[in-house]
Amino acid sequence: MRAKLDETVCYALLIVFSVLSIGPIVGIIVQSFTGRSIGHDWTLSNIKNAWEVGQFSQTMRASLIVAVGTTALCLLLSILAGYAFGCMRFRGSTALFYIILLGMIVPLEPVVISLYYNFQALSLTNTYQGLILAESMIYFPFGVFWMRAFFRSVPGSVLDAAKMDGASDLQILLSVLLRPALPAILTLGVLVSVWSWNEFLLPLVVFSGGVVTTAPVNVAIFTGQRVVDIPGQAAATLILSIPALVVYIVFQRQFIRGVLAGSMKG
Amino acid sequence: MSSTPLDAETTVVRKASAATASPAEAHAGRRAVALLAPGVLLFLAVVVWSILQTVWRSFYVWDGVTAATWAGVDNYRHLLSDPLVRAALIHSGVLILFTCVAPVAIGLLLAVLLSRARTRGLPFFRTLLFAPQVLSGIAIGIIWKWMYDPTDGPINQGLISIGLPHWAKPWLGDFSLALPAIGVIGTWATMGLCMVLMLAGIQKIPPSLYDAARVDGAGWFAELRAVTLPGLRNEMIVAITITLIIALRIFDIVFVTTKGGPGDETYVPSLLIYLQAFQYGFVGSAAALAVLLGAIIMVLSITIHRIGERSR
Repeated sequence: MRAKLDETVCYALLIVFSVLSIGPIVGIIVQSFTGRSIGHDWTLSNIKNAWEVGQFSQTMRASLIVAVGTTALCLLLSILAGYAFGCMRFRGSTALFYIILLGMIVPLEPVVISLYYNFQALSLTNTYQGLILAESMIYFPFGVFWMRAFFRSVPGSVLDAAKMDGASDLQILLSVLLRPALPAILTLGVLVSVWSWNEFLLPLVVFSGGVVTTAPVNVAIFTGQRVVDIPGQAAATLILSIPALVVYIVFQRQFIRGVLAGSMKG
Repeated sequence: MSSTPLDAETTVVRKASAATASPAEAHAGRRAVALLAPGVLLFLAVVVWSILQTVWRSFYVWDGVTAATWAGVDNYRHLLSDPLVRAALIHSGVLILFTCVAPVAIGLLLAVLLSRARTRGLPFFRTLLFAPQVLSGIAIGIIWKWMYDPTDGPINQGLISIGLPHWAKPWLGDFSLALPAIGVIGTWATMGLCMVLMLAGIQKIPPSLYDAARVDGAGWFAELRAVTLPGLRNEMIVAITITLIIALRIFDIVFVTTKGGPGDETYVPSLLIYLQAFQYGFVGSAAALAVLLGAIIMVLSITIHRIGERSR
């Protein structure tokens, strides 16, 4: 009897919090397809208008370039560094690793102030290269931490066997380790691409005053400056969120596991 | 980071093999450098160098354009006397209650209930609860601007439809309600993470521990203290640390909902840093505040970690 009651309370709570969690998201989706109130006919006109007003064809393209570039660069550098930290023993490796780990808790604010002026001096403001470099390096500590954890889990005997065959480090990485590393790499890629897509402060600063900007920055600015109707804002939010939501729906196991495992060991 | 017995074992194995395959292993350092150099050098240049420069800049008065003048610790002294900075820090304290304390408490409540009942369909609930984690701060902010909308928002419409029209408020525009309203957005944004963390943690606690506690006649509170809390120690540390950092760094949501208003009721440190550094040309004071914020976050993260380690 007690157990039955506990179970009921448990389900009730799970349902209440699930509804609270996705209710606002579902609400904004409905808003962007209807009008002021539910019951209006469903229409695509809000989405079409928001796409025009929000200049989404430019900003989505910019966001995509940045997300793809950041993910590629961050993954490449993280895999190489994680491999070195995970599979090789050298002097100072622990100290160096901890310096990089500190990058996981240092907030972005002290970085971004000086980064802006350095990028200005190097003409990297308002460039894709600059923003991709900045974002890759902000996510790099997590990437190193993540790949190192994977490479440490590789049995030493596998590495030794490959070394015995006289393979070089890169050969070992490419021919022996890459295949088993794919799940870890996929999870890291999902996380980094979503983070990059949603990043706000870095593009706001690095792309300040430029012609191009990323989708979140443009949405934040145009919904703040002009009086935009609610269906328009809802539609803009939906367009902005669709890529991340699709990634979540397709890769939710990787995303949840990555966020949880990443935070648990950090 | 704890090293498991397995790590130690592989270390021993690799050390042993290093002794035999000596010529190759002797160059491990040089080989590692080649792999590490690209990432680590860029990291040092982009992140570490910027932080050091920001620390340096915090001792100057600089508008970002003309020559900077040395100011010693003046920027830090002014921080402490600036009412706007003090307000922002107090607001951070309030937001910690909403964005850290409340979600962790909700997660714990759920964990306690789950530890007492057999529940199916958890992966399904997990997917729903975790969904807000994938949204950008900007999307979250606009969603809640709609939720709080004085006339068209579902909160006020709901209050009116259940016969409580005088409870309907201009939430984000009200001087005393705006900050708690932002706080609720923070609760919404982090509660899913806390709940899913605790769900994962509770499933790792062996049921036999609960059986033993129940055989001993432990009530729910004794069970919480003796089994659930110790079992969720790591999850608690993580949930508190992450949500605390989110609360202290909150920026996107405020930027898109209130921009610090009404008045200065919702100013937060990150917004002040951004405005001072990039809009008002007070780079030195922005740097000082950024260094202070960074120091607070580092000290709190390490303290929580220490407390967690000690209670192990």
